[in-house]
Amino acid sequence: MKVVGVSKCPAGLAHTPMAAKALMKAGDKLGWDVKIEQQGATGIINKVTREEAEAADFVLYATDQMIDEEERFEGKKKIRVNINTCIKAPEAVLKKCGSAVEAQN
Amino acid sequence: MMEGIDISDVFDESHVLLDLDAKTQDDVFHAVAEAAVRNGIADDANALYEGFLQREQEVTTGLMDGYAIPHTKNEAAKRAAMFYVRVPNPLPWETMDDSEVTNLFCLIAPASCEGNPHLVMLSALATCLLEDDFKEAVAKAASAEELVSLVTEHIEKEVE
Amino acid sequence: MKKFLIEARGHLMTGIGYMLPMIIGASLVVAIPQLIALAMGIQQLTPELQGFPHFLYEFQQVGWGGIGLVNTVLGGFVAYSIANKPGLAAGLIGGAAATATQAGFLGAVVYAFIGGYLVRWAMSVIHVPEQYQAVMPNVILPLIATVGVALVATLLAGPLSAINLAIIDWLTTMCQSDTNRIIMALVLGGMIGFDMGGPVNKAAWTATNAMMLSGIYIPCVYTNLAICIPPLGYAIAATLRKDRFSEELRGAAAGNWIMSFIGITEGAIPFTLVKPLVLIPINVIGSALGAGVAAAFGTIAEIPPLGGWYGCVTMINPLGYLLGIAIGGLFIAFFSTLLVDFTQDATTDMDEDDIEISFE
Repeated sequence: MKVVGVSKCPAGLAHTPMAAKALMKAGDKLGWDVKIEQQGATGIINKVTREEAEAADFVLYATDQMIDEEERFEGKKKIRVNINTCIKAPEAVLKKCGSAVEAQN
Repeated sequence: MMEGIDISDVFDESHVLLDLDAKTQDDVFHAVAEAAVRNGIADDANALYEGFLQREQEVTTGLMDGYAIPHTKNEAAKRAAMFYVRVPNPLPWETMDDSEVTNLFCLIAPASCEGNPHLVMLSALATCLLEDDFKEAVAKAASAEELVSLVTEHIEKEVE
Repeated sequence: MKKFLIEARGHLMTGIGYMLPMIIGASLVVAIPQLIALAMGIQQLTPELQGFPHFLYEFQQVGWGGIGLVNTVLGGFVAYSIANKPGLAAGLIGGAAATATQAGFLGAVVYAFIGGYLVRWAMSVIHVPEQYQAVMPNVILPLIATVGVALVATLLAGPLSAINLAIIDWLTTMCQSDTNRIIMALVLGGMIGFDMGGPVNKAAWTATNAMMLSGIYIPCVYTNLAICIPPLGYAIAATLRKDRFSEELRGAAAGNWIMSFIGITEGAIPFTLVKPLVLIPINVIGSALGAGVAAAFGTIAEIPPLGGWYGCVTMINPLGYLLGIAIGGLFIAFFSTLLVDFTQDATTDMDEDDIEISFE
């Protein structure tokens, strides 16, 4: 599975990097290709390009906020998950999203 | 990424509050806000306190295993900094695993911080808290010196 | 409003937290001479006794003195939790007033909340010039808070004590019938087993402790006992059927023996999380069953009951108490290993079913 995504939280200080890292680590563990962009207090880190988004199976929004530069992901399957859930159980989040996407195909 | 940046800019022994006699979130926020003013990080303790509180009201900063990471992006802050707080009596807190909170890292960032290199260290600290080893070591650290060297070591590893 | 209720519960829990060590200490001082007296063939310690029994009587009176302080300490520390040092005085006075006017636990909490929030309010509206700063915490705040509490205590003493006495009366009647006692034990036991330290568990625990403060000791027997059951169940299971448990959980079993012994339900959480939908019902039934067995065997308390296995020394029919714990524990041990395989560890990650995702 190839996944791109964005993490974003109210202050952009703590939960944004935590969720991004937790998801990417869980991705490694599952043998998936996971790249999560951080939209935090210092600006955008680890930016996902349009090409990367094109190649992905789905886009994961680890936030309940509006995200910046959303037009990149036009036409992709987008899934929103609570950011705290992504920190708490990143692997289960990925698996659940993965099977939900497969079920749709 | 680390050139010219020193972790002691954001965290040193004077930022460690071990055995803080706190009974509520409020007590912790007040204590940290006051410590930040004493250390010249901010000029208005009340504004910092309000900032922590407001962020906490949006969504809880409680994590797992007795940790929380309260933070504020604040007009009153002159520079970025973080504080470690340990309380002898676990605090009631909304956390991901319903545990009570005994260990806190409180982060303070100035309001405009686009491209601020010090924020990288605050973020790195946050991601360190995903590691069980780090959490265990911090909870066991007996002195401020031990904490500072532990945190420094892990942040450096994280930021490389 | 919801936020206020959460905050209020926190203050109440802080107050109970400070009061609990005192009541445990005082209960022991009541229980120990009572047990010695029973061993000597004396049913009740009275002031007329001579020699060593008289000493026992005096010793026990010290304990009762401590138990008499519960409302005072509870009120004091609820107010302290709300408004720190300036609130303490008003809370202590309110708590003492609650005891004096028979407004009980209920009164102590009401007065403490009024005193505590009065102090907070006064701190936010009254500002004195710099040079008079010292009079705020030492004169003005205590004055406002205690006068406020005294006023409320005078006005509300009648209705609050009426409510308090009516509740006590009702509960006392209920505790007298065997059937009611068993029903009460089943309900309380089930609540304790339901979420192990969560809101339902704490609701049962707080309610029975409140009753204990009003001198109704029996309900607390059943919560104290039920608390020991879930950790005991998994301790037995992981000790007898090692092959059904992951290494990590086998390690946790040792801790569960201790948690059961001293009475901490939370010990059972890591086990229950392996398959909550199956294990929570088992915990509930096991805890209810154990408490019900003890009630059926006539286990009651006439002095404030202690928790943990050793709490049995403070009960009438301690064997029924221990039997209840053992039967509940065995029930959980048997059915949990029968229905659930504990070899996979699910403590670190959430169940996928609990995760909410939404397509954009």
